Amino acid sequence: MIRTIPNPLARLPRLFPPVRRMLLVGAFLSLALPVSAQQDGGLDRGRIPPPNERVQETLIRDVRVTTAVPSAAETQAIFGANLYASNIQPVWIQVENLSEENLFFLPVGLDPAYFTPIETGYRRENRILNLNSSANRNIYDSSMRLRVEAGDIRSGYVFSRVDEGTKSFNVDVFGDDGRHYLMTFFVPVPGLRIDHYNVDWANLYSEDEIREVDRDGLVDALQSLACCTTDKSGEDHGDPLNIAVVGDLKDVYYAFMRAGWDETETIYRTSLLKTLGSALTGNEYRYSPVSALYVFGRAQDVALQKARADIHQRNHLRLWMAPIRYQGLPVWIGQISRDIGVRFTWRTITTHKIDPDVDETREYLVEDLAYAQSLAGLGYVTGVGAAPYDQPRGNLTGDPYFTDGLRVVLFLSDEPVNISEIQVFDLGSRPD
Amino acid sequence: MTATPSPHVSGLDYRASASARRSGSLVFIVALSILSGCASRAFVATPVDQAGFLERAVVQTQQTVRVAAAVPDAKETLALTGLDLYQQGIQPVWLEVTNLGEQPVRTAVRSVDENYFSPMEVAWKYRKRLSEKGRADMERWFFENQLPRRVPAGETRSGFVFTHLAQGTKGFNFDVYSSESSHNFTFFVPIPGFFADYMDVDFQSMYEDGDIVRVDTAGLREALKAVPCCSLNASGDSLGDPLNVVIVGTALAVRRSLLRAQWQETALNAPETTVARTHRFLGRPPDGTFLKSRPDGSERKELRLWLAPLLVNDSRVLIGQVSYEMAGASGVKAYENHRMDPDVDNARDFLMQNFWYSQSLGALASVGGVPRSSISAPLRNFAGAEYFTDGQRVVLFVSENPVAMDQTDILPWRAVLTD
Repeated sequence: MIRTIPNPLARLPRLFPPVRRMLLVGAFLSLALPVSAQQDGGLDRGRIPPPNERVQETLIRDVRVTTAVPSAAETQAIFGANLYASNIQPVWIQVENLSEENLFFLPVGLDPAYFTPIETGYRRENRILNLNSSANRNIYDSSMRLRVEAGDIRSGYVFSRVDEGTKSFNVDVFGDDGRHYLMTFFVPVPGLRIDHYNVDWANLYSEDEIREVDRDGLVDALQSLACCTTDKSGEDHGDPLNIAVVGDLKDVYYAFMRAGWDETETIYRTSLLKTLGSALTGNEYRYSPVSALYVFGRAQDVALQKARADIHQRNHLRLWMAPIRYQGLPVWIGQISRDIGVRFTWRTITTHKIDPDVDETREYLVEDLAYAQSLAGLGYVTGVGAAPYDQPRGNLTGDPYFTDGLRVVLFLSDEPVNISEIQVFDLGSRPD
Repeated sequence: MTATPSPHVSGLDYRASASARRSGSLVFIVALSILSGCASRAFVATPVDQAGFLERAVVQTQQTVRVAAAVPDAKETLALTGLDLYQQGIQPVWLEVTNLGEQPVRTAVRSVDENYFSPMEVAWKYRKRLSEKGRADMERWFFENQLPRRVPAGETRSGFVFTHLAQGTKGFNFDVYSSESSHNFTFFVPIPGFFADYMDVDFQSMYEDGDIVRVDTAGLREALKAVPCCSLNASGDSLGDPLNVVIVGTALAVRRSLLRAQWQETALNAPETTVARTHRFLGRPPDGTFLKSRPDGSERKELRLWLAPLLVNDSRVLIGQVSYEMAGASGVKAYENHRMDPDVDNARDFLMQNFWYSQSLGALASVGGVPRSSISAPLRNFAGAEYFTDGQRVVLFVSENPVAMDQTDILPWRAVLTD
């Protein structure tokens, strides 16, 4: 090879001692900012005005990224066609490079299967290629390019796959010398109710409820949390709480979205019908809802899912923020399950057959985050209680599961980490 | 029919909660009566250690980790489990990991196939075909024969990973890791009846030693200036698509990168590569053509590669072209209707990101060499397909070892990928 890869550990944020967190401003705030910069440039290539006033802005050091997502109707107005019907959702991105280095905006980070602008026009024209039709040129000329020169502002559209309701996506900007700016955006598009908007993060716990713990304290605290989710009454035990996550809210979303997880909603009637429809047809509905499970007396704070090939093959994950801080970071407790099929119930019409080998699903998550380059370290604690293969327990919907009784503790990184850099900690327990 | 929880519900015995009994058990019974049908087969598995396919095991050792890999074909899989896993699109990969070191190591099952089937998921697919006891036996077999995630120091563990069926050579990566270190393996296990296009190429004797130009990185930049803009047609008198990709790396690094980034090899003379084979460079059709399909459609990226008579230190240089093939009007032979996205730079930029995100990119650079053209005045290849480009070729230095995204070097050869 033409280069020696520098000692990767030199740049890896260490968990012990403390991790320094990257400043990220406003990822969860909706700011209607004046976008005077691009109005100067008119409509020439690389300076495309936002589609609406629902813009969101994030500044990391010397890079400011602004995004907006046009609704189906706005898309129709801008591009003269209902791109949503072709599964295409334009995302407007503006990268303001205040640094002295040239940077790349990488659309794969937003959607690994984004559509090319020409393909977008081609689909719009029912698969007729007319390169210089005004409609096609409008799409091509307003597309976002990768390169953002030092001191420049670039804006344009990335043509992503449709997300209903809230469009949540990452924006990755990379430059030379490993400089990088990793951001997460949540842009509301009317229609879907997302759990985390219902969570009042700031007031989830009062200051005196929250305990800051050291490493031993973290192990003790995690081991003494409940084994399992419950129903609303708190009486019946459900799925095992076999994952714990250490990281800021923004790091949690960034990491899981990088790994291909989508936010989801809790069951209500419309989506139930959609779910039933896709259960019957096998078509993918990325946002089929999940039922509420309870920990700390409340339903999940975060619900995510990852579709595999179709609705019969998806993974569900729920997280609750615990009243615990480790090195200043929130600690989460959660549950993950892997659907391996559909079966029918009275209460919710359809429910998923979950993989009873919940430890296998837990280990899948470890690897999923590892290959998303988001995992700084991991370790295991007890707390779930073992249930041998021959003596499985049941969850709330009667699915059996067996487990070694461990929960994995996942320390997220806000810097890319390759698999050779992941630290495996001895937290007192380990799987066989 | 009764609402009492039944041991027939699953091959696994279980104790459902009270609410589940209330709400679920009747449904189970209904479902059971639908699902169970007249299934009465027993599950009969052949002991794995007696399976013939293990004789084909390929062994690789890296420092303190030894891995053996073998892939049973359809018949051998049927003989092993009595189940037609191949027909369900499932291909078992058998792996044995020996940990010769002093620390426990972890196996990354997901490195073999990022959408692998879990053992119990495979068992679930066959639940209707077996008797109650057969189902329980089957579930236990899949559970007990999965590849363990952990291998203690000094010990050996083996088992199956259930992957998606690959047409052709079973090429896969396999990572074994421990705290702050990893061992990265790549296996190619031939499957009888498949012959990839690149297997028909004799890379060893393709060039005489005297023909090969040895350069350093700076020399590569100069050498690439001599590369023509485009491929040619068979008669050599008309220009084809631009040569917009240069991949530099050891043979292993190139193969690993393509696997990590989920490119699929193609069979020799496959109908899907009919168009690719009309493009000639160095007097021959591509040495290898690779495809990467959209997850939600029949569109695909197409990467055609030729081995160049260049060595950069010990790394090979592959020159090629990448394009995005849009799906045409629907038809039986959809591949015949694909047409190239004229914005070829978009496919090139995708390839760069594809390698970058899959931890394969040691460094990247860009050089000119293709005539600039614009959407308003596109060029045409010999088949009449339009394209336009900024004239840049991306140079991807691929790494055998995983590279975190912020460790990729961007070489200041010139403004990379201007638009």
